[in-house]
Amino acid sequence: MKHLFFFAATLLFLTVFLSCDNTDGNEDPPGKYEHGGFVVNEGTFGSGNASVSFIDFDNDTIHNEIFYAENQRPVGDVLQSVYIHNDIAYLVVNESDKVEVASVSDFREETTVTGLDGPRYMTASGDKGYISQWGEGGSVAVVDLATHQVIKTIPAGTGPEGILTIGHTVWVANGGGWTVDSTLMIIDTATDEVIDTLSVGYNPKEMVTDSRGDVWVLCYGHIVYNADWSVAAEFGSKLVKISAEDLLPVQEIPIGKSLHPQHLDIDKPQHTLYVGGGFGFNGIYKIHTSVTSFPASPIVNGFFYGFNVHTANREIFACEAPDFTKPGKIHVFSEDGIKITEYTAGIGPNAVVFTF
Amino acid sequence: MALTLWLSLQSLAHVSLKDTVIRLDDIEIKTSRLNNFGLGIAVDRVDSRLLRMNSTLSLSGLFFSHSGISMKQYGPGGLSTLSIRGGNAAHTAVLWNGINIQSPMNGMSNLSVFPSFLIDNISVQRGGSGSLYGSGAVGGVIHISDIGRFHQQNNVTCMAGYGSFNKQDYIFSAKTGDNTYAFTMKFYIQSTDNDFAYRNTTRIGNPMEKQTNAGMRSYGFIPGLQVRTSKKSILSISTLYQKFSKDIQTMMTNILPNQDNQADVNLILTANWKYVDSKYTFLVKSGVVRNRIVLTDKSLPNPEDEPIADNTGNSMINEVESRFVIQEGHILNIGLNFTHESGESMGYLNKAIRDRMAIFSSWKILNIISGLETVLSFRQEYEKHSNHPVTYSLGTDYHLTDHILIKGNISKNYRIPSFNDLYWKPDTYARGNPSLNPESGYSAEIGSVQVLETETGEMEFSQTLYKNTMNDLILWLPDNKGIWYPENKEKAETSGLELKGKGEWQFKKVKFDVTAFYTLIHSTLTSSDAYNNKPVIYVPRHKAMASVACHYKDLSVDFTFNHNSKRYYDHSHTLPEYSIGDLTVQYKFPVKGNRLNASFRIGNLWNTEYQTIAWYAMPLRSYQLALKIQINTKYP
Repeated sequence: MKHLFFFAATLLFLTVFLSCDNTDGNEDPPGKYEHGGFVVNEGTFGSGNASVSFIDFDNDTIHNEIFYAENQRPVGDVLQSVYIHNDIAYLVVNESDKVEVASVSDFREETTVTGLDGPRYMTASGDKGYISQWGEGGSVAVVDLATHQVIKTIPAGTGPEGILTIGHTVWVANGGGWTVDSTLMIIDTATDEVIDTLSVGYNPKEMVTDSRGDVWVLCYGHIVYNADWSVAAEFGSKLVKISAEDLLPVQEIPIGKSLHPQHLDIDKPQHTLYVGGGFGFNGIYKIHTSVTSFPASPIVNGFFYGFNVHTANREIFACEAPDFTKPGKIHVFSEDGIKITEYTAGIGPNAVVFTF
Repeated sequence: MALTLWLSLQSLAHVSLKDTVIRLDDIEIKTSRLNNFGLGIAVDRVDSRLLRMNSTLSLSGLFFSHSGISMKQYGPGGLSTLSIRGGNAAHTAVLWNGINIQSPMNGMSNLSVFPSFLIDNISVQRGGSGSLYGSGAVGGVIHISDIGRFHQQNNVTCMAGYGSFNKQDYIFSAKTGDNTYAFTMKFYIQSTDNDFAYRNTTRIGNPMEKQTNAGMRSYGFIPGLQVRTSKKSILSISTLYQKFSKDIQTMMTNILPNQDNQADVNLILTANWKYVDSKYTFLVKSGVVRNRIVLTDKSLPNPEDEPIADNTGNSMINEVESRFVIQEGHILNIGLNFTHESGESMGYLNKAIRDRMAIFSSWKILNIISGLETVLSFRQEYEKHSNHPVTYSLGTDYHLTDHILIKGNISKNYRIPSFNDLYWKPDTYARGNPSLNPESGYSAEIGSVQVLETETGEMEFSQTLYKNTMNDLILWLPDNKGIWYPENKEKAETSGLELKGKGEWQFKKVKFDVTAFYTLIHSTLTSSDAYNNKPVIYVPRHKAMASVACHYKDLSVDFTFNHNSKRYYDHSHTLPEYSIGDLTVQYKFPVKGNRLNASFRIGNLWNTEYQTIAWYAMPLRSYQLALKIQINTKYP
């Protein structure tokens, strides 16, 4: 009882203290962007109108253009991804060849990482960031997160995309870019050297780890065109499971010969995979890590440019980018595929990155 | 075909030849369709003195500071297009000696590539007139001509210019001739590094940066010939061959310099033959326009061997037109136009070819009531497998008094789809749509012109109110497989007001020329998305231009001011308003018989930071010095 009283008193004190701290109307309350999801809006290629939106879960609302609102300048040209690490948001801006660094809580700018070439996705390990990039024939830029300088550029395969920290290693999916690749690359974060390269299947795009620590890879497949753009050959997509222990592909789940999804996510208990989305792909499919065949029909229908599953409540946030000149929408579905709500975001949304 | 027609019509011309003597000096002005049948239309002639003072500027640079119409540029010297009355670049026809030079591939023409000194005459016509000029004449028409050679003395002229960002201009021109012929030869080399400093407002802390990859190199030959083929007829042949190499400016948002270069090779050949009589006029026009654009990535080891794009557009245009006085006060114009267009691109499966034939006619009626002139025009274009709308217009000028003119015009206008819209090959990202319809709509305007004469000078004021509608606007959007393709989708409505004032005064030894121009444009899109009810992108609501020139003895000072209100560049973002000023000082050295001019230009006087296309920086203050020597020889 006594403890409870002290707890309540402390809470009251904190509340009063914090609100006093905010009597100056110019200050934003701390944690302005702490309970929700950041929407990655690519913008129109060549127009420099990429943006970040914030879906505020507490007030069930969306705030668009938060980077511009806080910093009075644009994000840049084609925001490919946002990565959050130690309360810092890293905005990977593909065409601008840079990463904008902002604090998660108020989205104020901190610095800009340059020295990059066609950056795509980012991960971090300790005080180092790893950025996959299409430039320099495919590479991974290693960034010192204290100085924000590129300290090393590691050659990679063609068109590296998904990048994931697993223990003391960083895994890179060589997605093939405009051509083809079929490898994963593993970097030792102590030496920043490539210690292993695994062959998985055509154009691996994204990876997740499941509850057992195994790595699931989404391979997009490959389409070979003739000179007149008719299809000469088509190789379907598949999910490949790599055993964490011996780095061997232990399971393959074919998705479909003419199906080419681009995105993969996993729920919080890390038992259920979600596959789908991408340019011109219909639906989001749900597949338990224990099953061996791909479901016949998606749990959510529709053409989504990207999607993410919220780790806490397993809601699916699907990004509709009707075209790259006008605002897109974020559709929220329950884990069973029932539509809950929707928000109007910026131009070309491709992902939602949650703050918790 | 065209030749036989030409020959037969020529013999017709000789049959009706009469012995009336007319002056041929102003033949260009008197015989143009615009001057005779463009009634009720707002036209601004760009002052020839301005053309001479700013001869090292490109046409887009000249329009930017002097025309009062809105111009957008992917950085200085970059692709630049203009917008008249809310239309886009493909809605403004550009006529070079009467030949439409809009590319059949994208419907546009890039005015950055033409240096101003090539041109003798420019008129900007605001408002559509599809019935006079066919497809593309929707928002307005730019009339450019380089035929005015009989007016010039025989001369040899050399000019050299140097300015900020290592801009260099070298121009040589010569004219020779007599009463029967005039031959001109012009040659130029221009280059600039465009490595100007600007404040990068997209970067943290808004640092000053140096522009990268924005340089330009260009050269060209422009021979031309005019011959009086008889007392009443004149033949004009003009040629333009140029190479224009432009690095594609790095966007402000991008850290690494752009590596792309665009090289244009342009060839424009025009031949006009005119026969002018008091009762009968006959015109034959023939033109060949060829534009090759090669886009390369300079970072590749052999950029030319693997171009990013290699497009060649060709147009061959033949036109005959004849004018009769059918009875006192009634003038009839009848013409035929054959246009053959082709386009080759890595983006097309096959060479794209289009043949069009048009008949057009105008009937001008004078003095139904005293002071009233009316023109009724129509035009029908034919193309195999495709329907083009009949276009028509009714234009009126009414001289209320000697000093007040009332004008009105209603017209139907259209634009046919470009080859890219129609024939882009189906690939993984895009496909053309061969079943597109032409865009079409109406334009109406009413205006008045007043002339005031005072003891010290003359003033002219004009006001125009207009409204345009455009249906079936072609828009590229992705289908549900993510493949972009064009459809006739949007509607645009534009209405507005244009005010113009012009004055000339003489105070003792100082002469003043003042021009002021203001446009209010209210443009609204109707579409099924976020652009619905929004202004058309890059069209400012308000635009104002003022120019003051003072001349004292051999010294001229010209100051221009331009203001643009904010412009949308997508459904929600805008570029802020800006104002810029330019100053040109010119001094004519007193050299007997010949001419020696020096001019000094300061661009963007008060260092305005602005963009005309989002994130393409424009230079701050810049300086340019030019020297011109003209040695005249009298022709016999």
